[in-house]
Amino acid sequence: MASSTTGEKKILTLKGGDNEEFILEESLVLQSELLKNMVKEERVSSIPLPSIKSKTLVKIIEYLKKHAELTPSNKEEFKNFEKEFVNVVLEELLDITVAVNYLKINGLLEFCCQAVADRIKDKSVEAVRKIFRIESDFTPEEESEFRKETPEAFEGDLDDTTN
Amino acid sequence: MVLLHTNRKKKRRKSVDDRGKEVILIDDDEIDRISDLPANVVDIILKDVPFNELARTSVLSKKWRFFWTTHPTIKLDGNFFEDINNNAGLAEYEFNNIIDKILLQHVGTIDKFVLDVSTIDIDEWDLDHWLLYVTKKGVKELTLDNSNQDPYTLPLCIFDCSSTFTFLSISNCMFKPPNPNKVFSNLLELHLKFINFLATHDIDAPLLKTLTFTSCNRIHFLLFFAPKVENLTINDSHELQVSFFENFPNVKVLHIFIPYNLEEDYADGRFITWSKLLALCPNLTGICFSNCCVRLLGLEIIPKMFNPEPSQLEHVRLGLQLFDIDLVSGALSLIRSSPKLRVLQIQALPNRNGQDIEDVLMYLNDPSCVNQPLEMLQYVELKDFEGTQSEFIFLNLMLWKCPSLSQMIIRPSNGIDEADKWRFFALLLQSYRASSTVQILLLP
Repeated sequence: MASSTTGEKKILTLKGGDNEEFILEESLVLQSELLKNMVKEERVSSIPLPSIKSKTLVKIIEYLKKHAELTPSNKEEFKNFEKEFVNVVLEELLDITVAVNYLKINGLLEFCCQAVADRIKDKSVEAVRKIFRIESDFTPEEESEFRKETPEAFEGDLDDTTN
Repeated sequence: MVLLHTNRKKKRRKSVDDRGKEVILIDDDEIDRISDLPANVVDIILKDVPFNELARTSVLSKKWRFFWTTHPTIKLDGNFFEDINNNAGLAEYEFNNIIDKILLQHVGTIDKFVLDVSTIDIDEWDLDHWLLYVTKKGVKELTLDNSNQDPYTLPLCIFDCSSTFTFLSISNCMFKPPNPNKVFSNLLELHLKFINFLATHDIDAPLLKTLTFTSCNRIHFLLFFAPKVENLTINDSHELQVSFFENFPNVKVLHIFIPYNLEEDYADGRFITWSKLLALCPNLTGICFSNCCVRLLGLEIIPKMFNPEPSQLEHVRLGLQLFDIDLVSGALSLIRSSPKLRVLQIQALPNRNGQDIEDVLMYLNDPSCVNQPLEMLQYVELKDFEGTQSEFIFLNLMLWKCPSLSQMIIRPSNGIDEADKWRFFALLLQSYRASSTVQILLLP
């Protein structure tokens, strides 16, 4: 497919998992190592991303736009934007993180992962289990032994709200 | 890590229906959320988790039992040791015993090793062994904080593995590289803290991008081959010399913080001049200099423009005595020499001795002070605004000469009189502005 251009700017279409299309400037997607390689090597103008939900893609494109506008004078504003960006329910944050990992947007990946890490920081084992829906498959005997051996592992914040 | 992937499919739960037949229920909500994540993502999520928190994952479930033993990061920071100390029953354990056990149980590679021994007593002998162990395991990022202790001599294994490191942060160590020199061929970041350099050392780091010195002595002994250094930070370090900057012709962002008590290290009152600095580092796009640093640059006959070639500076942040003619004319010449300047941040220093400001006022009031408009300048900030006339004229000048200015931020100092503050602000709002869209804000 030939790449379409309007004026100087190259335009690219991204197709989300539910076939929704997003039209954006090619320069924006160069922040993604994966898309950059696709665009540079194969000269495509439309890229299907079936594994990424449109809702997630909307968020990521929003980030790419903001990041492209980043200058020394709006650093503060960008930081606030980043903070809000990861201020979503855990499910959504994990979706974004996985998609960002797939797209290889390195700075954002580290940031999202840190945001996930912050959600479980200082949490008790029970809370982390609930947050990540990890089912303990230890026998009650094993569990009580761990508690005796390493009581400190079971301390921490019991709050298991996932947002 | 393999453990994490054994359970990637939706969890099937066996149940028994009302006729006693076994059925399998699939419940979306029962998917363990973290098992769905790619292994590298889990590693990044837990990358900066201190060891005490990482160890807790071992009681989450069977799958997690030995996760930590394959996790590529071991972070034994101050937090970790404090945690051990606070847990009753563990206090009598010797710390070196615990570190031994952790390293002994770890299998697989160690990419990142953080060890903060600033609060614990350990043998140098042990430290040598741990470092040997992690370097054998291919450690790429190493942080060793030995502050508050006797200086520790870095073992040879650090230099033997020099080509493996991508990140090194070393504090309070003796730095004696062997001869012949080893090349840090993959090193991207180097942070050195509390180190006295006693002799000349060559440091060969062809990819190094970020270099930081904090409270180091005699860094001019270091001869770098590091042509790619872009970010250079010098905090508190003694005896800077011109020759040091010759090592870094491509530096883009330069931070220098010199505190007052180190000023006397510079007998002739300077270590480099603006002209020399801009000539040696022609690619600078950002600088952040403390007031003392600016003073130690100030003494020269200031030309109208520093170089025949304009500087690449986009972001300038200076601590500045706006009442001192040498410093003000130096800063103004820098501004004039930087046609790409977009952000200018000045921290004003108080005129405690009541130095005469006539010279400065005359200089700033001269129409030729800024003869060309500063086309690119968008943001001007004045911190610790004292409400003096020289500050006011300086701000006026910026409003007058910056057609693209979008924001001017004024942050008053604590000592300023409330009434004065508002009077100056009101006056400033009436000043002539070259930019029709500029916002002038008085912020705390």
